[in-house]
Amino acid sequence: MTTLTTPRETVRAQGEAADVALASAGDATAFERLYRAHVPRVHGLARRMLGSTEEADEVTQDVFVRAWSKLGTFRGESQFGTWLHRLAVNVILAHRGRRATERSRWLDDEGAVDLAPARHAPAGLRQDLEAAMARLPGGARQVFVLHDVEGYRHEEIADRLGISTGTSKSQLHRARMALRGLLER
Amino acid sequence: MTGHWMDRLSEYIDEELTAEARDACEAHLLACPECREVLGELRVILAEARAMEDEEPAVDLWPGIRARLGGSAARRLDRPTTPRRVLAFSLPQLLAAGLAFAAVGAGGAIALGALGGETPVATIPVIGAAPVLAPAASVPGEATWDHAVGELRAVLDAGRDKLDPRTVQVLEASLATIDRALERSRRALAADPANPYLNAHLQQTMRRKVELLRQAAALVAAQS
Amino acid sequence: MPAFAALTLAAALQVAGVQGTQFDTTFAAVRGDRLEAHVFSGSLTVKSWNRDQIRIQAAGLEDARERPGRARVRAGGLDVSRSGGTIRVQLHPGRSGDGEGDVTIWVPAATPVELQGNQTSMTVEGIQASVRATTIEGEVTVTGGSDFVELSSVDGGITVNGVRGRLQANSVDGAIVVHDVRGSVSVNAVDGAIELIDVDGPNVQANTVDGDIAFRGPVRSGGTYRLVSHDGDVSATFAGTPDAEVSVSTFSGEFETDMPVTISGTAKAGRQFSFTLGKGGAQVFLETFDGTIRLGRTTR
Repeated sequence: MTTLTTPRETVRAQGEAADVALASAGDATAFERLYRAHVPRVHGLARRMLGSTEEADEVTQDVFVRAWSKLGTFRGESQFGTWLHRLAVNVILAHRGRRATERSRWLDDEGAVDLAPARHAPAGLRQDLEAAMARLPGGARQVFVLHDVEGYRHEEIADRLGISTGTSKSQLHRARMALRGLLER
Repeated sequence: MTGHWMDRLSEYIDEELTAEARDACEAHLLACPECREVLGELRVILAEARAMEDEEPAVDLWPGIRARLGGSAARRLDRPTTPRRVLAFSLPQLLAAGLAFAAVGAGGAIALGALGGETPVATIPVIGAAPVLAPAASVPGEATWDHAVGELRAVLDAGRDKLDPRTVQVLEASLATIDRALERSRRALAADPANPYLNAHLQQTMRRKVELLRQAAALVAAQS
Repeated sequence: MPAFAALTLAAALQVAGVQGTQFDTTFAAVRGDRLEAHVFSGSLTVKSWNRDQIRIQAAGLEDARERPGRARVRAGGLDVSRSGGTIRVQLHPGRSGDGEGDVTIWVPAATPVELQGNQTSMTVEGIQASVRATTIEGEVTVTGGSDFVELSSVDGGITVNGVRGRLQANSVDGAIVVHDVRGSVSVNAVDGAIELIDVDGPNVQANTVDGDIAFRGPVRSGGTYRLVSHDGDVSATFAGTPDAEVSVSTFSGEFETDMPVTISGTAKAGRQFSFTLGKGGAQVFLETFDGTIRLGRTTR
């Protein structure tokens, strides 16, 4: 089915050098354009990593406020979206949620998913996969999101999360198996 | 054996097994329907994860973000880089501006009359305060603007045949309008380099040029 | 059905592309629907109505048309689909045509609308939700709209009436006429005049390079009103006597006013000065490089 949306990635790449320059100069309208172009991806990342729409709303704002203050450090070596994404991952990982303390951030050898304190499932028309992801322990969920949704390599994930590559691989497999179990119900 | 390979199915999917291990795994899969079923389900999950679409948040977060940009953005957007306490015209300049007046003397009042026989304005006390220049906010230098202009111009030039000729004509005509405005601004500024209004006006006009080129580049990209 | 199997199913309602002179279909609307319509060339009109339905009518799909300077148009195909909460209507160039036609869509008033076109004139009436309309060549006319209205045309004027929310309108070559808005306004043109009548901010920004700007409306305490041209007159008419600090800047222009003004500071080369009206509070910036700046008031 033909989609209506313009090829936003291409449009975005062409226009962003100017918008970044304008936003660096204090043009909030240009920054809003950058926001509107990138918020779906940033919010999606936050929502899946945190397992909560409410926290994702809060952290997404933190990401863009941080990006505004750090615009001067963006040198243009990469695409703006790539730079913003890395900044978003940092902000998300540093976020201390308001949730009750998790018994564990990781999946144990049994691979069983602890029926963690009911987390606010993403609202709206969401596929069951995302609802199931929200039920994973935080660390395992982050590995799954970074690897399978966002395409990071285990070496990068291990570096960001402060774990070993082996742990990243095993948590990924356990997360996939746990999701399989949750989706079968 | 099933348990061993079941635990390594993710490595198999992600092509992280050695060639030897991969061969052994595939040999096992041929003989193990349970592992094949799990493998299929894991592939579905991976495919769905990769295909996850992003959507805008249900709530527009921009107002909250904008409010937190606060002082820095407000200072740069809503306040001009011109002195807040700007200065009155001298008497000859007021005359040239077409305003009739009667000078009362230093420290007194100047009465301004409007043109066209409308109701005269009230008297205007002239306060002999020294001009106060607000510190200039940091603005991009010409090099930054030129870089952005150069990049975007290259995109437009390379892609102009993708656009309707009439659209190209309109864009070029408007770019020419802006270039004329820039030229006049630069000439005026050359004669009065410290003029804060002219400096701000030149910056603003450069910004308009970049914005127009950005729009043109987006049009080219959209037709690609 | 196991949930993970359900993941593989698509959830779109698709009506096969229709070719023919006329197309007319009506189907149920779902609460929360939004409309995205893309007509490459021709006209695109969206109107609100009182029904929980969406009607799509298209004409001229196969009619051979001749316009001055344009090639004859052959048949075009129309696609209508629903995906999630979005109704998509698309008339685009394809094997069988140039994507030209006149499309009219009726939707419930609360339906957010997003329109795109190339050589397309656009009209939106009676929507009480956000409106986005972008065309390259064509006039854009919007009556209504709330939350956020964003309009753009490269070659064509923009006319807006009755927005209750934030308005942003951009034209490269074309006049922008805005009447009766309650909400912040940002309007930009390059070659075009700007008219803002009965616009109630609190923030109003109008910028053109070659064109006059005329504003009439109240001045709200704490608001910012910035009217800037390079080559054109700037006229601001405020209701009553506002409380505002006014900054006037011009290089080779004149200033006229019937307001009681108090100019402070000494003279400096360059035509730039400020004064306070009433108790101050709002910020007003009137700037033109070459043109007359007029400041007046109405009794309303």
